[in-house]
Parts: sequence; structure tokens; C-alpha cells
Amino acid sequence: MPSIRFEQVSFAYDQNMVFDHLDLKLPTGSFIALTGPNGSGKSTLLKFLFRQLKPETGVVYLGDLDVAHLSQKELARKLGFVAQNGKLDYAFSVEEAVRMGRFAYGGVDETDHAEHAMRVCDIWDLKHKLVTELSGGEMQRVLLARALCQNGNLLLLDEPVNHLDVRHQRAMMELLGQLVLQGYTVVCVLHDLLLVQVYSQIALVLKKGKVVSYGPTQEVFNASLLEDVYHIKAHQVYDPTLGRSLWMPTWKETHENV
Amino acid sequence: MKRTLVPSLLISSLVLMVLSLTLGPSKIGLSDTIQVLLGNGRRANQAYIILQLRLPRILGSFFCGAALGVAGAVFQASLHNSMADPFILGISSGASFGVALALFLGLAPLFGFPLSALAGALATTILIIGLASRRRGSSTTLLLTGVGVNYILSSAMTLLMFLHKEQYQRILFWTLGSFSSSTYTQVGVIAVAFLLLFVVLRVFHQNLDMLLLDESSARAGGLSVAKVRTSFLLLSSFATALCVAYFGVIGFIGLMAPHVSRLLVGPKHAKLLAPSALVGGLLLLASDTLSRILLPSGELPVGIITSLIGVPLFIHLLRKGRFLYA
Repeated sequence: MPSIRFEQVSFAYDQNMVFDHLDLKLPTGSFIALTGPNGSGKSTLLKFLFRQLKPETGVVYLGDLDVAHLSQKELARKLGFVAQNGKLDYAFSVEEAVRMGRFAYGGVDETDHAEHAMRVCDIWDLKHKLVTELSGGEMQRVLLARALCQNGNLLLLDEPVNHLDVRHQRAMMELLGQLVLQGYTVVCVLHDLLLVQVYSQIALVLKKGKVVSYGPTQEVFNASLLEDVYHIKAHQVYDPTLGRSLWMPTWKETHENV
Repeated sequence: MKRTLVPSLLISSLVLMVLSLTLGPSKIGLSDTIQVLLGNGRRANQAYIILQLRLPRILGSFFCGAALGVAGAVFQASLHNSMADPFILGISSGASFGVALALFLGLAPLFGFPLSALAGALATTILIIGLASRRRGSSTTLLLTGVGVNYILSSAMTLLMFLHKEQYQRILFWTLGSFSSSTYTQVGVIAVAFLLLFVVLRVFHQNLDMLLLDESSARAGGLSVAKVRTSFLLLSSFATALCVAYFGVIGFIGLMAPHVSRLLVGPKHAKLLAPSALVGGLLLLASDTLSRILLPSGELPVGIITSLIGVPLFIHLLRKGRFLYA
């Protein structure tokens, strides 16, 4: 499966430089978490891949293909994107909203990818419901199903569990993990360090547009990295269910427990 | 409801058209009206009133309403804003300014109101789209640029009217909108513009649906957002500018017809476009009919009636409709 490459990519928002000649290669077929403080360039990196933003210099490759040379529809057939707060304000039915993922195919869906995507995301029973009546967790699954419906094998997600309760966070992350097992590449912007450590296979930590650490997730995090990136103290806690230790921020109580 | 809506609206429109032909200061009964329409009219004055005065006006208001209804759906989707109407990108202020400037420079007799208005409207819309596209052209930038330019042109027009007080009445009457001097040529032009707009949008209805997504999701889904948005806005602006040039500024229809239709059939444009056109046409035809029969002599500006009959309908649907907004 082809890799994702950023070669000598530079980009600035107005005068603020975000990336300065960034070189990066992401493997496919794995769950990659992008993390780092606000404004470090995580979402910007995702937006290069479907040309919402264009680098000022450098090239972004999907496999051997320069994304600048692909049409918007060709790009859409290679990937799917779940936006941060990507809710729909208009009262489409769940099925209508998912089928919008077939736009790049002119709406054609001969092998019914939409039904498959709705079943995978466990929203088939909701297909006649209006998206304006859904809970946050259901809505995220609709957005994921729409992205799957595009039938690419690269899924890009920008903070997909931000507004979800713990149960729905876990359900969403497990679903993404299953999709990786089915051959998808998941590139997911995440803030929650626990979710990053539990679910991702590869972690990329960004700070002010620079790659601070990158590699297998279990090797990426350590106390000095968290101190450097987030200016927090951290310690390891053993999780008996996972059978391994996870890095956690060292909390400071602000009042005495009653 | 959904399946019968378009046929019901079509039949209601036809019934209202025939009914409207019978209404007016000269009393002409239904059977005489039908005889005239069938070419069997026995009185020349009745045929003249029905075929030369009332029919072009009825068709003009219907097609104008239909064009504004469809254009409104395009503006609301393209600008990602449910308060957008076809005049938000400066068409009304541009057209009014065009007319005021032509009067001020003494060019009005040469070009007439319609051409001055059309030039003013299109120049303003192109200016706004051009200005906004320099800053990545997001829908919010476009909307705010439109609002800004609207204010500037409205002030400039007020200044011209202040300097040219003797023309104040003429410009004011024109800005309130009227179908009293509709001609078959105007009806033909507006009908062609409406049909062209409708057919193009019906073919590309999925693009309109995609515009309702946030910009990143639309792009990642395969839509060339800026290109599609600009093309749709220019096409709809042209149809709206023609309506304004012939019949003046008629607000409310372009805002409300898509909302009323969305509450009845949902937001998918494959289903939404035809009801938006028919609700717009029906509303404007009903408003124009009322505007010419409510006063014993003379008539009311149609713009006043559109809101008076449209708002109660809209509020009723807001309370009862299934497809409410988030």
C-alpha cells in the first residue's frame, strides 16, 4: 500500500510560519495519531492531503501521486475526511447524509457502499432518522460512514471524539481500530494522550510545525517529551487490562477532598 | 405530502392564474375570461384587458417569483447561511445605484431603467465576488464583503437622491417593485432565464447539497468549492438582476420560498428546487394579485404584500414542519 509523504513542505497563515521545509513520511495500513499543543499544525497537515490548503513550497504525495495534480474528485476517491464539529445544520436523513459520500462518483453506488458503510458504523437502523435529531455519538458515526462511502483506503479524522462521552469515545476509537484491521489507514488528530497511547500504533508529536517525536506509539512518549511539548510533569501508571504502562499528566489538586 | 406537493403547487398556480385574470377594476366573469383565453372573446376591450394587461403581469410575477425562489435556494446553500437571499451580494443596492446614477448623469432616457439597473447589479456582484476571492473566498468573507458593499452603495444612492430630490419619488417607487408595466418581452426573458437556471441547477443538484457541508468536508468529498460556488452565484445573480431590472426590488420571496419548501420536503436539492420555484411563483403571483385589487383605486407596492402573506405561512410551517433546522 502506498505511503503518504510531505517533501520540503512550507506553509504560513498570513505571516505566521507553520511549516518550514517539513519532510515526513507516514506508513499506510496503520493507526497514526497526530498530537501536540493547539496551533502546532496537526489539522493543517491533514488539510494538505485533500487540498483544502496548499503548501507554499514542497510537494505532498499520496503514494506516487502528487496531490496537486489530482482533480478534487480523484482525491475524494482515495480518502475520506471527518471534520472537527462537522455536524450538518440541515435536516437530511441519515441515509441521504451518508450517500453524499458518493458525490465523487456522480452519486453512483452500484455495489451499495453506503449500506455497507452504515452497517459497519452501526447506523443502518437509523437510516430514516434526521441528522438534526441525532446524538453527538450517532452524528460522528454518520460522518465516518460518509467518509467510508467514498471508498478510499485513507481515513483522515480531525479530533473525532472531542464532544463525546467516554462510552462513545471508546466506541469510536474501537471502530477506527477495526477499520485499520480491515486494511484502512487512519490518520487521526487527537488531544487525549490516553486515547493516543491506547489506540494508535504510530504517534507523531508536533510542536510549532516541527516534528518533536515520531515512531511506534509506545516508544514516543516519555517524561521529558511531555515536559518539553506541554510543559507538564508526567508519570507512568500500569494498566492491568492492557498489560502495559501509560503516561499520564501528574495532576495537582486545587482543594482538599471532602 | 412530498409526492403530491409539486403537482398540488402546479395546479394551485394555474387556478390562481385563471382566478387572477378575472380580478381587477373591470369586472370580467370566469366564463368570459375562459372564452377570451380560448380565442372566442366577443368584446375587444375584454380581450385587451385580459391578454395585454393582466396576462403578462400574471406571468411576469409568477416567473419572477419562481426565479427568485430558486436563486434564494442557491444563495442559502452557496453562502452557507439560511438568512441569505438573492440580494445579499449587492444586486438590489447595485441596481438601485445604477438607476440613481443614470438619472443623475442624465443617461436614463438613453439606457432606460432596466439596462442601468442590470449594469449596476452585475457590476456590483462581480466586484464583491472578486474582492472576496482575494482572501481565499470563504462563504463568510463573501457574505461580509456583500454586506459592506451593500451599505456603501445604499449610502451613495441616498446621497444621489438627496442631491436629486425631484427624482426621489421615481426611484422610491421603482425600489418597491411593481409588475404594472409587464410586457410579453419581459415575461419571455425572465421565463428563459428561470428555465436556464432551473435546468442547470437540477442537473448539478448534488453540488448544491455538498455546499451545505462544512467547507473541508465538501472539498474532501470531491467538490471544487470555490469554483462551483462562484459559478452558481453568478448564474443566480444574473437571473435575479434581470428580475430587478424589469420589476424592481422584490424582497422576501428569495429568502422565504426555499425555507418554506425545505420545511415541507427537506434540504435535498433534487426535491427542493421545484417546490422553491413554485412556492416563489405562487407567493409573488398571489401578492401581485392582492396588490392590484385591495385598494378601490390605484394599487399597493407588491413588496408590502409579499411579507404580509408570506410570514404567517412561514411561522405556521416553523411550528408544524418536520424538517426543522438544527
